[in-house]
Amino acid sequence: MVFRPWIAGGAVCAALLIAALPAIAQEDDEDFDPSKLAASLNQSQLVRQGKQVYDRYCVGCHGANGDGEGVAAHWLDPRPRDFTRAAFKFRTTPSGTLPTDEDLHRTISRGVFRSSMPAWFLMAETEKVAVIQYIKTFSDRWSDPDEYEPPIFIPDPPDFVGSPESVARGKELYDLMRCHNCHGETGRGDGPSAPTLTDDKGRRIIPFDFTSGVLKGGPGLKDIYRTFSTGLDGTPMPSYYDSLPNGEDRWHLVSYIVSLRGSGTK
Amino acid sequence: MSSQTATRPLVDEGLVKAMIIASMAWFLISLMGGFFFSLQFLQAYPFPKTELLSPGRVRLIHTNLIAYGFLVNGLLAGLTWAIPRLTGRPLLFNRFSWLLFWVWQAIVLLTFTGLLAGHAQALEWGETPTGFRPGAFNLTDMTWAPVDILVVIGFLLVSINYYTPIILSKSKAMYVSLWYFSAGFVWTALTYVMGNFFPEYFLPGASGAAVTGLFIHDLVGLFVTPMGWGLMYYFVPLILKKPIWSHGLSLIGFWALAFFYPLNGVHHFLWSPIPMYAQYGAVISTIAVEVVVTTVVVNFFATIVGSGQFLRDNLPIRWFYTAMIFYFTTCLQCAVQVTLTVQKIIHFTDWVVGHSHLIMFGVFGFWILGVMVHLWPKLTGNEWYNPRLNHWHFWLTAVGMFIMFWDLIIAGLIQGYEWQALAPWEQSLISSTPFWLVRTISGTMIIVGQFIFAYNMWMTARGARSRLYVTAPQAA
Amino acid sequence: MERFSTVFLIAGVAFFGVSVFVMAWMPFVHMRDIPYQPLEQVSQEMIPEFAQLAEMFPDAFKRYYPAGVTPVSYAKALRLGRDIYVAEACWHCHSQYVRPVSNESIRFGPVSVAAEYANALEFPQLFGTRRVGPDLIREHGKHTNDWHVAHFWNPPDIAPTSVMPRYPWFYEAAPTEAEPDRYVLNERGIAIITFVQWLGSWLEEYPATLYNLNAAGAR
Repeated sequence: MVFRPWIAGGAVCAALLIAALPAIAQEDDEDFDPSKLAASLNQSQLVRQGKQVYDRYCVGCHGANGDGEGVAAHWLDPRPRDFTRAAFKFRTTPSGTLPTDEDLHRTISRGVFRSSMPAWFLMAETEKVAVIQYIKTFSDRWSDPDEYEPPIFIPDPPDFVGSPESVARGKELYDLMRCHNCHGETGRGDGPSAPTLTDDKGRRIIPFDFTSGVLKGGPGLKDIYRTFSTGLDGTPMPSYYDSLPNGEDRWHLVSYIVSLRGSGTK
Repeated sequence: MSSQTATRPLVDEGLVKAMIIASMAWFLISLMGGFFFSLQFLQAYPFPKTELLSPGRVRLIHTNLIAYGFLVNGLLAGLTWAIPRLTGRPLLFNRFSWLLFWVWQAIVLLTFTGLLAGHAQALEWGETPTGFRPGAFNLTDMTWAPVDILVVIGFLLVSINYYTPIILSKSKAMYVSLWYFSAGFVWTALTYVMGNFFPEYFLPGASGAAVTGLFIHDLVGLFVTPMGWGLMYYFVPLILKKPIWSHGLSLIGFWALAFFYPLNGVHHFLWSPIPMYAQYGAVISTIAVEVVVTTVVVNFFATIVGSGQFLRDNLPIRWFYTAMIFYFTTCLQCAVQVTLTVQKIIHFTDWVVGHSHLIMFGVFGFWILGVMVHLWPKLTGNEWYNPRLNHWHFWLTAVGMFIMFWDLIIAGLIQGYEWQALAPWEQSLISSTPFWLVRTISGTMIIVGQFIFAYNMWMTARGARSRLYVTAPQAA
Repeated sequence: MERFSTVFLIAGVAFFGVSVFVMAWMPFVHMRDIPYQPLEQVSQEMIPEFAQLAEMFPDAFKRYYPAGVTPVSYAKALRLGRDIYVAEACWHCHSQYVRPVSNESIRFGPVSVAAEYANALEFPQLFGTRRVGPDLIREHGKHTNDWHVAHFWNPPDIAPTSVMPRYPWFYEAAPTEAEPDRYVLNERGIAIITFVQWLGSWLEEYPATLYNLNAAGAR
């Protein structure tokens, strides 16, 4: 038999294609895990690529040193996050601990609602993973194993959320937990201690107005539940994981918060 | 000849000269506008804080001075020269022509100041200020200058002036150039009225967009194209000293162009909320135009067969035929890019910018420059100051144009595919930056070429002669 | 075929008439029934960003828009904002329609339909033919007022790769080195941000990217 290069070449290509099929199929995996992707890549290379991404998209607000003092920072309220403190608002981990890669990935992908952080949902996943690794270089906290805690499980919302009984129970808890001190009796963010509040950098911070619509943490019920469970680090908003250890109570509070929506503008 | 013509010369050569000077002056200003605007793409704009030189406004200056300063003056210079010679009769009034000339320069000047002061109209290629806009934003009140209406009146008077010799001509059949001129004047006036007034006052949204699309394309297809081809049908056989190859082909070319070209406009807004049948119709007629264009280009290239030495020895012919190759390229490109499939990628990208530069400058601009090279020694009565500078002008311009075209084509493809691949927007800017740098460099080549040409024109008009040529034998 | 009157009447007038009939009159008739919205109607439903601008710059707002946060002021800001959008040639680098192809509905939001353009602010429409920057017809809510105020001052500050020009003439008081927080928009600055934030505000879900639609749809 005569050796035919194109048959041989075709066979090699077909074999490669078949071998590559599982890899292609994996692309569609719905449970994307940024930390797994990060672990599978070369760390120093990731940080280098992360710096490129950071200098392209992030540096204007968050600053070259990651201190949240970029050239455009003084225009923005709320201010850009200071990565040198490594205190992040939107986490699934307990109050005062470092967030998971998934938390940072979520914030990058959908932005921070009601703030100037845009949704980078079109950024390539490898770029997001890389910039997350680069953000971690700004603070020593990331190299201290004591700063890590396993994340709190955020379940899907139970069916009673939004029912009138749940809203009533939520209202009781709202008063019991003295939420009105900051957020006000009607949830408009005008409680008696509201004018005195500052964030961890000593800047004035205004409690959220629940009547105004989507919360900064996100539009879903789970996002509000997450905030109650973990608190917002760097702000006066505490975690209610310990004071309301029963998850159902936190869901009632979610019901009440959501019921306040629509009484203001869109 | 009637007694009327006996008393005055057939062509007012001073007027032709003035039009060429005006055309060149607006052209140089416009080129500087384009150059500065291209610097903005490199984050290197020289006057970032000057309101009157804001890059967006300077961009409007670039296109509008090209259309109304460079092309209109340049084409009218050619018409003023050619129409009386073709018909054997002068224009209606010589003094009146001069008045129109100055009125037209005033219109361009008003457009220039109006655009810089922030009075543009949202009509591409027709941003000339509208004047009457109730509640419009006024930096300095420009409502006293309704440029749109002045332009319409100007076009009408120009048409009357230039139609007169054609109508009074004794010859039964008109030469092909005159068909193009006859149709071109009425098209221009109708196009301008349609585009500037209907979307502005009567047709909002998508139905106005259809008219805007017609305007954008008709200004190219029904004003510049017929005038340009008319001039080619006049100058090319004249310089080659032989008739055009086929009378029948020129008939087909003209009538098919007249039918298909006006139907093209909506192709500027494909995949938009305009009803799809209009979009399909525009696509089909655009492809039909490509067939038409082929007949015309074949006719011209068949004409030069056997006279190839003119491409080497005669600079105007070289300008004309280079532009015709570009013309064929552009139209072939147009037939491809207009399809809905290709539009998915290349619409909104630099591809389109490359395309419009090649057609507006690479073709019609080249023709006008060729006509200028041909006429300037005749008008001034002097030999060229330095013919070698004219060759520099040609090569810098042609090579610059060629580089710019391919550069923007490739940039457009990259942008289009990155957008489709859902890369972040910033990615397309980063990928485009090297191409934008090459665009600025190639544009600089073109600009340097034009300044060389302007210098050569100036020295020629003064009757100067470069030392190189004082003792040398006369150049061809 | 080669006489002046033939060329003038058939090629010049008749063929042009055919093109206007097919390409302009027929689409017009086709879309005639789309309800037209005058400015008074457009300005009835105010975007929250407008009220927010009034809060951010109370003195300037009161001076330039004495009617306060009302549809009257809103209509004035929209009209002026549109005129600035035209005058500054924003529409030469930003298109205003989302096509049903090239994944644009994922990038920008829902595909544009003709009914969205039948209002008093579309004379002429601002479809645009080039995108140096992104499409803006779904811009409402994608960025905050803060972001826009910073961005118009110097776009590369907040978006390092941006090639958009600066617009310092939208500001009444500019920030200085010593007092970076002291800046005030003028009439034009308030108007252009109102206009840009208005684009797409008539849709239900905001910001209208696919990602956020999914996120908002999740309980």
